[in-house]
Amino acid sequence: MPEYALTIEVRVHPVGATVVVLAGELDYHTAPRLHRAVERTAETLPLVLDLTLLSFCDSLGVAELLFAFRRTRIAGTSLALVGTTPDVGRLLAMTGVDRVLPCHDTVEDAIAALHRGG
Amino acid sequence: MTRTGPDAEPATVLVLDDNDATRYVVGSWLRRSGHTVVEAVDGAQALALLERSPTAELPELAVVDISLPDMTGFEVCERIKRGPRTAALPVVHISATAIEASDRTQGLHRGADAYLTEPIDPAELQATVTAVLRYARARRRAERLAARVAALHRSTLDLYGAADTDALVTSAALGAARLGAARATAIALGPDRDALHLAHHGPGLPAGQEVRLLQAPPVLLDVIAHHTLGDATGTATTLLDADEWHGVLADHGLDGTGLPAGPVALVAARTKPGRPLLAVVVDRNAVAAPDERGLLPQLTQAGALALEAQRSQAEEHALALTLQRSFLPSRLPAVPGVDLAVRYEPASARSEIGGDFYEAIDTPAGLLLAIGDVAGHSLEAAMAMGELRHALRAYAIEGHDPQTLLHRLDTLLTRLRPGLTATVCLVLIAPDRRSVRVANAGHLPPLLRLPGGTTRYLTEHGILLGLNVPQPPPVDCAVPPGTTLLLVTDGLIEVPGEHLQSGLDALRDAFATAPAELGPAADLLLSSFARAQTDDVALLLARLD
Repeated sequence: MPEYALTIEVRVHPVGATVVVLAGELDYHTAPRLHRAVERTAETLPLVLDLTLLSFCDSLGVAELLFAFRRTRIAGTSLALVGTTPDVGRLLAMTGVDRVLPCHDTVEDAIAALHRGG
Repeated sequence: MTRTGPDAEPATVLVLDDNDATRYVVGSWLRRSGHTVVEAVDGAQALALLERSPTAELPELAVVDISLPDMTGFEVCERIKRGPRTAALPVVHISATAIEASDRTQGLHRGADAYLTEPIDPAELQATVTAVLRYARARRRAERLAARVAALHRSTLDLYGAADTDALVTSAALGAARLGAARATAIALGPDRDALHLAHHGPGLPAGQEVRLLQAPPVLLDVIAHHTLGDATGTATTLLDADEWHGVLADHGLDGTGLPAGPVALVAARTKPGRPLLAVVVDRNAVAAPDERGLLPQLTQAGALALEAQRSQAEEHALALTLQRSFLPSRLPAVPGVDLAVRYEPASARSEIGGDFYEAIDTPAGLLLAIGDVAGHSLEAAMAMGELRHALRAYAIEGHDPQTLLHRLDTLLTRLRPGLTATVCLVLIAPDRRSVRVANAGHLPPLLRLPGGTTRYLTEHGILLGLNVPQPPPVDCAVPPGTTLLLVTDGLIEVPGEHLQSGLDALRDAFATAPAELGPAADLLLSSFARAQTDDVALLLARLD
C-alpha cells in the first residue's frame, strides 16, 4: 500500500457542503494534490476544510487554503476551517489569514456557521 | 536436412551408454556428422563430467541410454535438468531393448527432449540430434536476447537517474557491458562544454571498480561524429578495423587512452539538431549477433535522450537563477550610520526557482528595508517578485508611508497576478535612526537585537498581499544605538515536519549570540539554519549606529 504524507478525504455533507478532511503534511510536495482536490469539488456548495489531523503546513499550504478561499468567494459561497492545531494556527495568525478564514471546533459548528452566514 | 546457419553448426555431444558397442557406434555416427563426442559409461561418470566442465565447454546435447548400471537414464536426465548450469541441456534417450510405449512417455515426461529405440537408424539419430540442437540453440538465443532486452531496460532507467555527466557515461558504459561488450567507452560533452567525459569499462580495472572515468578533448567527439552521424539526428553505427581506428585517432593527435583499441564499433546518437552527440565505442564483436545488433544503438539513443534532459534542466535552472538574480538589487544604498548585509540562497540545485526578494531604498522619509516572498516555486512567482520589487521602488521614491505602500502593492498583485499571494515586511528607519516603523503584510516578524544582546520579534502585522484586504496602521518602535535588525524569509527556518514556533525560537536564540559584525553573522545564520532547504532563502541584516 502506498504511503502518503498527506491524505485527502472528500465527502459531501447532507446539509449541503463539501467537507475535505486533511491528515498529515501540507507542503511543497503535497500542496498540488490539495489544489486538484479543491478544484474537483462542486462550486455551488460551501466548503469546509477539516485540519484537525493536519500536523504541518507551510507557506505553500497557506497559498492553497487561500486558493480554496478565493474559489468559494468567486462562486458566491464560503469557506470555513475546522480544528487547526496550534502550529498551523500560528502560521495562519502570522500571515493574517486567520482574519479571513474563520476556524471552528467541529465540522457541525462550521456548517452551521456557513449556513447562518450565507 | 538443412546444414546452414548457426543452428546447424557441429556441437559437443555427451554419449552415455554402458554398452561399449552401442557407445562406439553412436559416437562414430555423430563424429561423422562433424560433432565432437565425449563419452561416459555410467550415470555418476556422466554427471561428474558435466559438473567439472567449464560453462563455456559444456556439451550442447546428451544422448543417454535408459538402462545404466548405477541409475536409470530417466534419473540422469532429471538430475541434468535440475542443475542450474545444465537445465537447458537437451537429452535424447536411447534404449537398446524393446520397450513399452509407457517407457517412452515416462522418458519424455521426466524431461527428455527425444526418445529413440533400437534398432536405431543412423539417419534418424542425426536428424533428431539436428532438430534438438536447432530447438535448443534457438531457445538459448531467445533467452539471451530476452536477458539483454531486460538489461537494456535496466540501463535505460539508470541513464535517466544519472545526476551528472559522469554518472550518465558510467551508466552508458555499464549498459554496453551488460549487452555483451567486453570493452566499452561512453563519451559525452560535459556541461561546461570544454571537455569530454569518458567512462571506460574493460578488463584490467582494479577489483571492485566498474569503470574508469577520464576526460578527453572535444575533438574526439567531432571525429566520431565524422565517421557516424555527421550533423544528422538519430543513431548510426560504424565498424572500423584496428588499423583504421588507430589511423583515425592518430590523424587528430589522439592517443586512444580509455578507448577500446581493437576492431571497434562506433555507435552515436543525437536527439536534436545542433546538439553534441552521445557516443559509445565498443569491441566490434559486441555487435556481431544479428538479433542483438539493434540493442546498442537503442542504449545509445536512450543515453542521448537522458543527456538532453539533463542539459535542458541545467539550462533552465541557470536561466531561472540569472533571471531571479537580475530581479534582486545589484547594490545597496550607502546610508551614514546604517550597516547592511544581505544574503540570497536559491533552493537546492535540483529544485525550481523561488520568489523571495529583499530591497533597501533610500527615501525622503528614511531608509526603507523590505523583504518578501511570493508563494510558489515557479517562473510566475519569480516574475511577480520582480514586479513587486520594482513597483515598491517606484512607490517608495514617491514618498508614501509603509501602510500605503503595502496597500498599493496589494492592489497591484490582485490586479496583475490574480491567484498569487505574497508576504512583505517593510521597515522604515527614521533618518535619526532612533526609531523604526514596521508594516508587515503577513511575513515572518522582524527580529530586533538590542546592544545588550536581548532579542525580540516585532509581531504586529496585517494580512498577506493578494487578497485585497486593508492593512492595519504601521507600528513605531524606538531603538537605541547599536541595535541590529534581522529580516528573513521562511526558507531559513522552515523545516518540513517541524513546528514554526520552534524555528522562530531557534532563530532568535542564534541571533542573540551571533557575531556583532554583520557579514559573519549572516554567514553563521545561513550555515546553521538553511540546510537542505527546499525553498529559497533571503536574509537582510541592518545595524543602526
